[in-house]
Amino acid sequence: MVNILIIRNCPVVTLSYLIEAIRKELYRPHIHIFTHEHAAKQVRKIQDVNNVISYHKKDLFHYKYIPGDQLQALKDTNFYRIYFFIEQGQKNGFENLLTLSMKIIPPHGKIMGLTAKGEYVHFSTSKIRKIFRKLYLKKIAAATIFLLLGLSLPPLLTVALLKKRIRQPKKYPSESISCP
Amino acid sequence: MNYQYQSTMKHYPKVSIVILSHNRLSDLCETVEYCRTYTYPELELIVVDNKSTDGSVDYINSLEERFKKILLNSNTGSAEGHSIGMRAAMGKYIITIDDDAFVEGLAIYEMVKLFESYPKLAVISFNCINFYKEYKIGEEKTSRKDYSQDEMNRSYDLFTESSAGFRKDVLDLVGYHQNEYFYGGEDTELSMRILAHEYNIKITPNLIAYHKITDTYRDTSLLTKNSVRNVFWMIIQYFPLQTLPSHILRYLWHLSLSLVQKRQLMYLTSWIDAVWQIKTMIQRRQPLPTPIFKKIIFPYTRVFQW
Repeated sequence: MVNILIIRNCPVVTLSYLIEAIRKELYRPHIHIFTHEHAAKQVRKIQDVNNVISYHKKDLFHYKYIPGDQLQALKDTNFYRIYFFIEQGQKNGFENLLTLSMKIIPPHGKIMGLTAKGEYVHFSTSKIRKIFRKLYLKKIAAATIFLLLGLSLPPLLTVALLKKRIRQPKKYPSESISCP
Repeated sequence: MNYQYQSTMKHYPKVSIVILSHNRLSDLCETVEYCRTYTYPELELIVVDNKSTDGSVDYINSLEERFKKILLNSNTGSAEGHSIGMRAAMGKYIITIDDDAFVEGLAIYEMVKLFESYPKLAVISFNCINFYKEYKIGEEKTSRKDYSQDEMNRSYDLFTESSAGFRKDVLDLVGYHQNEYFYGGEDTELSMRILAHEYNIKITPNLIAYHKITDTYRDTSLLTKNSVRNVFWMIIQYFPLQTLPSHILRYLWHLSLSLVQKRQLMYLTSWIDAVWQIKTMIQRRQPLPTPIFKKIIFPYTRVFQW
């Protein structure tokens, strides 16, 4: 029997389909689900789910929200595979899910992305590195633009504040009002 | 729903319904048809047309005398269009709806009752339900509930103008929409101004309005462009001084991320436009009292997700 972890970032209904797809491939896996506490109750109702790990946070998911002892327990579980849903693209903390997976996956484990059709995408270490590199590059680019915008703000503000008012206040097009 | 007070109301203050129309003829026809079914005795119906080119003008002209018609000779945007309609309204209370929205007839009675009961209540935002899908936009459909006195006296919601009820005298006091906001976030701006004058705004689950979210829904690129600019103005106009630097930096960070992720220059042009006209906004600055500011949820990051 193998331990698998599903990081639930999809609707619970979709999740039950995904579990079915996983069960077709793996023989009687011990299924752990990692979910936000608001869905924990619903997830527990799904058949064949052995363990539900929930976290409490209203905001977008981040691995830092998981208490240290819980994170250590996840590391010690020795997961054979970690699954998450990839239809959402880079929204909903995609990179945070990858980071969490990277942190808790043992060396022989695999990180898998799942589509709504139940198809798998294997995230090899090199692929994950590539994704992270892209994400970091985007953040670096955003930070550069942020700096440029921040630096350009004072001169722009000065010009805007010193300029004479060019735009005249608009007049109401009262001639077109036809009230009976 | 049990609207007991419909029969118990002793007097009916005048209510004006302002419908703002722009190039959505079929939706406007449905809205007008729905308005004809209202049974509220003291009702004034105003149709404001923002220079439609799809035949809406002819349709509005063909409406009966009961409808007050305001045909504008240019597209003045949602802000000015609504303002013109609201200024022309003679009612004690005003309901503004877009041409693709309408409020339930009985909700008018409940709105009047709430306004009459709570004098500090300036705006009631209707529970906006998608007409076609029958679910509430953004949230789960809420069940009918009774409002507590405390809840009504401490309401700091921000309303959406696609369907909202206003107290006319408060609007005369705090002012109508600022025309520069044009379209996208002008309702949030007015909300802040009303809150700055220490009036209340309440989103009411009981008062149902239907909004049609279809392909005739407005172009989101224009909405994003204006909203990005308007959010910056709102920060300048209404945020307390001590929070201004952090919010401007936060705004710039979201702007930078959007520029990189969406690769659309309109974010940058909107921001430059916002800075260029900042002088007017600084002159109109009216910061919100800090206790109120802490309670409102400013829809800030949502602007960059559109």
